[in-house]
Amino acid sequence: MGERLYRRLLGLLPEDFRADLGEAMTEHAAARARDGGAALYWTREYASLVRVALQERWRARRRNARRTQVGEGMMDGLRELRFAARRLVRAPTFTIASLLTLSLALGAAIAIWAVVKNVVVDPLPYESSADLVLLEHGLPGVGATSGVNITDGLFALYRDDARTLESAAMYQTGPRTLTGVGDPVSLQIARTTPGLARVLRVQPMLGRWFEADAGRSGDAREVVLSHGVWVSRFGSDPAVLGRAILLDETPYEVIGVMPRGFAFPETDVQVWTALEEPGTDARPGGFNYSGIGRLSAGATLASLRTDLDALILRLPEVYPAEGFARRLLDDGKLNAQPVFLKERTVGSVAQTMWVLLATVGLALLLAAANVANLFLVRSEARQTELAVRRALGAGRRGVAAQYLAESTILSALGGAAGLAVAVAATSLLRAHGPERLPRLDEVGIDAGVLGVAALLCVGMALFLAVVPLLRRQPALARTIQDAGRRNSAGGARVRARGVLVATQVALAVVLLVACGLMTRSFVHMSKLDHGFDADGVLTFHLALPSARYPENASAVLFHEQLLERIGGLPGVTAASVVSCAPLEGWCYGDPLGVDGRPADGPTPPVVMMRMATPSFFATLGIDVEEGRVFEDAENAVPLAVVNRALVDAYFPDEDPIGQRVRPGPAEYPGSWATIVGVVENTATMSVTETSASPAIYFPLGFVDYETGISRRRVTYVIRASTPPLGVLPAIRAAVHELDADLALADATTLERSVADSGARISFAMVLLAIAALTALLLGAVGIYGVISYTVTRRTSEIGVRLALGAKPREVVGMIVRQGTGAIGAGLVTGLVAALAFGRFMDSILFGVPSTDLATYAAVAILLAVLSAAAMWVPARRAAGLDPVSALRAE
Amino acid sequence: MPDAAPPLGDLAYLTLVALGDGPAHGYAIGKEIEARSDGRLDPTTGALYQALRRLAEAGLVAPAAAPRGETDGRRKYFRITAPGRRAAAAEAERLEGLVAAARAKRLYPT
Repeated sequence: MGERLYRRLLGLLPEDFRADLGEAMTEHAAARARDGGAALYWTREYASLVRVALQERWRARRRNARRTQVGEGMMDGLRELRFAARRLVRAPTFTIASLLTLSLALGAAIAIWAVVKNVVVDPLPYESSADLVLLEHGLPGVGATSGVNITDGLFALYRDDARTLESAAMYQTGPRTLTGVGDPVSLQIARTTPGLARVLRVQPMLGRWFEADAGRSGDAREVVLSHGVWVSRFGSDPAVLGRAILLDETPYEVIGVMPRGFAFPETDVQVWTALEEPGTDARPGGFNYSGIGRLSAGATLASLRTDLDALILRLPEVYPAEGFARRLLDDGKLNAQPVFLKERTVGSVAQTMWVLLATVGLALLLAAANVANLFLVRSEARQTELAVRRALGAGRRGVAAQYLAESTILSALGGAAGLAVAVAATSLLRAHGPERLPRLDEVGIDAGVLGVAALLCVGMALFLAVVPLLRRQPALARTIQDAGRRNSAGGARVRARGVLVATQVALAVVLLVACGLMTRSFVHMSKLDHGFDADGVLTFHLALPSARYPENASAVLFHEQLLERIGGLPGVTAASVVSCAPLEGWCYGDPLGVDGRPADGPTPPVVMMRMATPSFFATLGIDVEEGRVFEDAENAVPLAVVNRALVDAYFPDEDPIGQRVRPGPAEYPGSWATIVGVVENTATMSVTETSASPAIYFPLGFVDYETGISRRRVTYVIRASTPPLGVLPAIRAAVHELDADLALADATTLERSVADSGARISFAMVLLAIAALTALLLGAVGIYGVISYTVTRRTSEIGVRLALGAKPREVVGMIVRQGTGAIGAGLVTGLVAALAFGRFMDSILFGVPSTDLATYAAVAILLAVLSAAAMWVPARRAAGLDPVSALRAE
Repeated sequence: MPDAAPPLGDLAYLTLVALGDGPAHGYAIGKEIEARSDGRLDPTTGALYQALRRLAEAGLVAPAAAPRGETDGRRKYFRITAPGRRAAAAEAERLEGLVAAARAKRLYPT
């Protein structure tokens, strides 16, 4: 007993030690035992042997490490790589299949990671950008719980008294026409208080920013250019400083050029002008500005909110003359809802991005499983060779080195190709990605992306090398017997591949469910009735300079003349002008005053106000539900048309027709307009909005109201019977006939606007569809590969069965049954995982719950059918075997 | 490749000493060590062969052919090499120095 155990324990010694002295030691120990030693003789011997073994192994490892430093290890590695490369070249099918799979999956993962990192993870490109907050508000009393902007009165209060704000600025954006520098062009400008540079901590690359007191009326008007407009319009000329330019025909002096890449608040802003810092004479109403601030040291979003809420309570005492301040508090329940700038910028897409990243991560796992499977198949084909090598003294380590060398080459090549795929994909995305995707221009392959790519490749190489090693390695004799007989299905081996098949099926289920849910969201979205018919409709913006169109009346006259000309153009069937078209976002809003209702009652909900020419409703195909819309002759009559949502909010129990209303809280003056009709709701911000906003339309030519609605900056809505963009040149010519200094801006089709506003969903759907289809393909190929390999290995067994009278149907059944277990397990696991994964998708889905039964059922059936087909083909082949040739195949 | 020669351990020293008379196999070496140390040292098989292997790696002992009378093929014989002799002498000298120091202080009888 003692001696046998001792012999076993000798196995613990390093191999060369054991080979050299093992026999002698056994003999020695036995001889000493015969001398009759102490009672615990063997125990002592065992313990000492274990200690020696550990010491010697430690020494051997240290020595090896030292040798590697000298470079021998590297030479060994290079030799292994060279051999591996030769082996890979000799197996082109395996190599190409692996490389394709790896490069696609790695490429997709790297590309999406690049997007996620640059858009969601990276801080915004401003110094200490984590301290930047947007000063937004909520007016829960009138149904707006968040996202309400700021008034100049509030801003002045915050800027002077909020201790949690280090600095703050207020701004407004809008288009202006630049003339005198090449063709007239419409530019997006931001009017901002001079504090913006301090808040964002940026300085012009050239020249200077606005002085603290800039923007006062009567002072010289100054402008700061973006890098882009400086390059495209001024040929990067440094002498641009001091030059006068015309914006809406008003002269401005260029005082600075911002650094490349700076764009605030939106990427399309190209020019900044100064907005005077509001003083204490500012009025508290009119949420017409956006506010941004920088948190002071130690302040948090919560402390900022507390601070601002306290200041809001002081509003009525600071502006005692304004009854409106009181009502904002009492009726509107005004409160501060500051949000981090980053949250507002990327928050809307962050969830989608993470889901996409998880998806490509799953696809990568699937690809890894597939290539691992190919490795397994190959390793089995090489069992005999490997067993011989082992018998000849190649250690387990040598075999591992071979696998590692192969997987290293494949992962490195796959990673390089994947990187190329990712570079191509991200530049494609930058050029053609959805416009509403924030920070798209910042997406690229940087060090952080490369680092992750390298980690993925290393991980992949290790994983692929380890999988074939996990198999039990039978002794030479056994392997050769197996190889000779080729009829055993080899339990452990089949089980390992069963697990792989199940994993592939499960991953495919998760991806397909994600894709299915997204597709259903998309279908749901495209079936929505937006309240208008976008087909064949062209929209563009036109801005009339106030210098030449000083009054609303002159602007309206111009629009009427132009509409007449456009209406006469070939292909144009209807033309109209509106102050704010559907999907253009939040129009001018104010509560509505109703004749006969007390002015000091609770403030009614905010209503979107639009000015439109009479033809607007017909042009967009907006249905009239009650009453009528304006007649052509009524463009200057005090009438109003309201939408269904407004009726629900203002006249739930009354007949809206004949009611008299006017914009603004009741104490604002203005003549009453009579409601003549009710139209259906139309989408305001996006086609995916879930509730309609109350809206009212006044005739464009009704110029009595001095509201914030401009008749100079309007949207033209034109319906054409020919492709809408085709009539654009004729329209442009018609515009220039009337006024050669005007610029058409943002010309697009309404269909395009509809698509853009649903881009978040369709973009996610397309990417998920690509991932899911890849998964489906990889899964099917994987199943087919495993089953057909099993069939090949069992050829002779099947031959015997057939020769003994088994019916082909039974053979098919036998083969199929074998795969069914793994596939079933994969299906169940996948469905459960998809349910868990689905919870993260809820926020990006639209009109479909993440537990949508139909999608799950469809995916399960689809995969079951596909798996059956993937098993059926090799099973049929097996059943069709000729018993004699099958047996001869030995 | 002998490492920078540190003082030999008792076991290694006595192993070299045991081989002083000529080649011997492990069992004989073990017995000799036990006798020389008055039973103070009775190395286990593992410890003894570890010492032998390290001495061999250091070039102080070398495998030797079994003598003609040997019947058990499993036994392995070792002999001391010239560097081994020098190492043993150096160790003995070191030990003598240590003893001399004690004598000089009359801590140990002459």
